[in-house]
This record gives sequence, C-alpha cells and structure tokens, in this order.
Amino acid sequence: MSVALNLKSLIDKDMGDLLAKYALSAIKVSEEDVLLKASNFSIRVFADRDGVSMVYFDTAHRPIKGYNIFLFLMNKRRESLTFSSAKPEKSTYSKFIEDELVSLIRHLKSAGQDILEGSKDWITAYTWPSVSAPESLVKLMI
Amino acid sequence: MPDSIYNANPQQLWPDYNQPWLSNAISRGDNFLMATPPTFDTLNVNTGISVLTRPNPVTGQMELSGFGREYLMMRQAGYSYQNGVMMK
Repeated sequence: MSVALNLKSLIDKDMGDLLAKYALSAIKVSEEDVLLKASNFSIRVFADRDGVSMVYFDTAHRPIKGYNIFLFLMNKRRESLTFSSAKPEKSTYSKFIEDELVSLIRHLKSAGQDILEGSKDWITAYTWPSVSAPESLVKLMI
Repeated sequence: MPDSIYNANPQQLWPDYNQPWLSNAISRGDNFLMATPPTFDTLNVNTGISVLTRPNPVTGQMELSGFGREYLMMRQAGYSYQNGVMMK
C-alpha cells in the first residue's frame, strides 16, 4: 500500500524518549513499516488501513516467534492502560495513524516497560497464537 | 481503491466508496470470491489477530476491521460463506 505516511518520522518524534532509554534502533523498512531493534528482541511497528500494530519478536529464540503487544497488554494488564472515551476524528491518514501510535506508546510506558527492558517472563502469559517473522525482516532482526 | 482517496479522508472511505460498491453488488445478487476465509479464528499473519476484528488502542474497544465490516454487510444481506464464496 502506498500511503501519505512516514511512520519512521512519527516514531522518531513521538517515541524518541523510549528509543533512547531502552537503546532501541529504529530501522525504516518502508513508509509504513519500522523495526525497533534491541539486543535480544525486535518490535515491528506497522500501519495499514485498519490502524497501527506492534508485534514483539523474540530474536533469542529459534524459530523467531512474534507476539502482539497490544493484544497482550489489553487482555492481561488492562487496569494499567488509559483509553479515550471517544474515537478521534480520522481527519487524514497520517493523523489517524499518529493517534493510534501515540496511544500504543502510552500503553507501553504505563504497562510494558518490563518488555522494553528485555524481560521475557511476560511471554509465558501470552495465550494467543504467535506469528512468524517475515523472511525479509529476519535479516534485519539478527 | 486509490490510496490518494483514502489518504485525503480515511473516515469517508467506507460510506463514500466501499459501502456503495458493496451495496450495488449485493443488489445485483452477485457472489463474492473470498481470498480469506471470513471467520473469527482466521488470523492475520502479520498481527496474530482475527481478520474480522481488532482491538482499538485509542478506545480499548474491539472493533470490526475493514474486512469485518464488509463481511457483516454481506451477512446482513443474507449471504453465507461456502467453499471460498459468499453467496445467497
């Protein structure tokens, strides 16, 4: 999908503090796909017409398995999350995506700092199917 | 659907384009070939979440995906899924 979006720029702007705090390298895969790389995990942040997703990949494990971070936080740590009562206007695609991204970053700060610190304990509580890492991204992750 | 239309006003994509197109096809009695089985246990290979719904990170509510909206509209019009096809 070709969109009027530069997800990497939004991540640099809205997530710079977390990138610095947890030594995450942001690698642009495409206009709507960015990999946040740490020493033993990577987080794929990507956008489509439905919104933004963040999938954590445990790069210390073979095969590399992915876990949807928001699915986990919403179901297992919901009491630590803050939501808006109303959906923001989708005035432009970029604004829509930034609203979703900012919310996901807020959830990571309030309920996912252990994940960013490199803990893997939370994965044992992840009860949904994992996803496979796309071949094109595996080279960037390891 | 050209991305330029979506980018200009994503909120209007469904009411201005997808919904009228689907409504016209339904009114003709068309069948729909489905590339993806429209079931809750069919997972998006990228997100690991159902192809029909998604959790909205802004509101914390489950919502229909774009594909889910289309499937619901077809179901409400009396269509059902059989062997890769939505048909009446």
